[in-house]
Amino acid sequence: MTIFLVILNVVLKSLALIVPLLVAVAYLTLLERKVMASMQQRRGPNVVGLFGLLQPLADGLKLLIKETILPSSANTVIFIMAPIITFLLALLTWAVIPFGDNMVLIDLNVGVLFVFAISSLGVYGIITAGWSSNSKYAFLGALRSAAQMVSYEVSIGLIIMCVLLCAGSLNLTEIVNAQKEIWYCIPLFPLFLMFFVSALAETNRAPFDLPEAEAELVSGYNTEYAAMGFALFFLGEYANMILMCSMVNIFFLGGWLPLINLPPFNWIPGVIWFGLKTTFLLFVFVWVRAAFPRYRYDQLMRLGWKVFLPFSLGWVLFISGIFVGLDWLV
Amino acid sequence: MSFEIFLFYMFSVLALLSAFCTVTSKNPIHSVLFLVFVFFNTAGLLILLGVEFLAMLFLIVYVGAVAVLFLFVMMMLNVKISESKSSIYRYLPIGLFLSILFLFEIFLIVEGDLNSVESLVFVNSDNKALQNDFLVNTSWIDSLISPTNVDVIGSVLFTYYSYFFIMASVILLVAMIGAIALTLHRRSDIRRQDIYKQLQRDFEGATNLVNKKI
Repeated sequence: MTIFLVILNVVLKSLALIVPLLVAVAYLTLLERKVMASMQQRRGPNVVGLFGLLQPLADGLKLLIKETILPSSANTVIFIMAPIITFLLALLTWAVIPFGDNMVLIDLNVGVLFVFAISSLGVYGIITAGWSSNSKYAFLGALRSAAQMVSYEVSIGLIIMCVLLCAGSLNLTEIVNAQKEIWYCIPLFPLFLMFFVSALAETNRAPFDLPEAEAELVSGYNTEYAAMGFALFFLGEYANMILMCSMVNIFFLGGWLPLINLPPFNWIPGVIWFGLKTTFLLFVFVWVRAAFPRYRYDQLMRLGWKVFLPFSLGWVLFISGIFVGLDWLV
Repeated sequence: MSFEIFLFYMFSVLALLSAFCTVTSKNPIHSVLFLVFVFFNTAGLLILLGVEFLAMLFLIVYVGAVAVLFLFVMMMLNVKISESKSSIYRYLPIGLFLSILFLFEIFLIVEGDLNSVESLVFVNSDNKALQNDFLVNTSWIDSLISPTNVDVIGSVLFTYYSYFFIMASVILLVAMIGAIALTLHRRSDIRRQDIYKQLQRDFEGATNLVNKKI
């Protein structure tokens, strides 16, 4: 009986995390289309439901009832496995993200490393998808995407290291609590910008959406996927976007902490603050997509390796120098 | 406790099976993917041991970086599925020799080192590392309140074993410089984009008036 209750507890907890996440992903697509539309002076989806609010459900249903196509020359097992891996890894990271004070599924002591490890595994879904499709476009898209993700992970790691030096802990909750005095986006402003840009590149978003450059590569690594396979990639990608925004939020914008620790701001619960900040960052993601043209691939690599890497490495040395010199180390 | 033992056996069995598949599978890509699975299970074993920091490092370094590189190279090389023409017995002696050597070394390490690791973690008084005055002068009471993995590894790695740490990093640096030196050849017959030059250009520098008499 107790074992049954324990299992029920785990299942309910996971569902309480996964279901809102999927709803958030669904409505993120609607938000993206609406915001892009209003930036380009269009109306966006407004037919299905009130203000097009049921559009994501209709899209999901369409993808669900479509025919699953397996290319005859594909490596079937890996072909089916790739979207599942992508989706699974996108969900897995959410277990350690704290939404509020003590509102976290697993309060891991090495939370930051866990997030970093799982997000570095995301490459596998993409690269196996591209290879197993046995198609030139998919393969080239996968190689591009993998190279891009691997190179921007380096600068992300170094920026995270700076934040860790300031917070003195690998625990995500403690990193947020360390920002009670001041959000890290103020003293570490350049790092905040760089982390945001790296997050754009890491999630393959515009202006770094070369993997799915539709003019050259049809749609990148998911060219051969249809129906649920494509839907899983899509869900994984957007869940990763929300995840990266929450990471920017936790590292630099003080997570669930209110803007100012004074009564009118205090009354709003922390979860709402977390949601507001993350939504703002997601809005900026869409804004960037509507505003900037696509990078060329060599420029992208140059930005990652020749600009971000030396700069973030310099910041690691600078911050540790200051901390050792002024004896601030926690 | 029994659940942990179950997990231990599950991880070890899966690791051994996929290690076997790594060696035997015909397709090199499948081999690499099985290798990744081995790394995964090993990380699981490390978590069971209670060294979650090492487990995460294992995932980041081996799975996230090294195996991705393997996969990349394998895919780019376009290795044909290697039919094993030569019989397995050709490789058996050397394989057997290497594995026996490996087993012997592992026994040596386990015999000699596990004791000292344990006593380092649980701060044993008769340990050699503790006679180092830096470690003695540290206020152990404070750090023992929450001796996380990271703290313990960091305090040992950056003080007592700092020479080894620096040595390892220098070896890596040498390897990196070697790789760069091997592949670096700058062609001079192509036109390159110089971003700084482009950004420096302004209206004053780029245009000039020519007073041309007709």
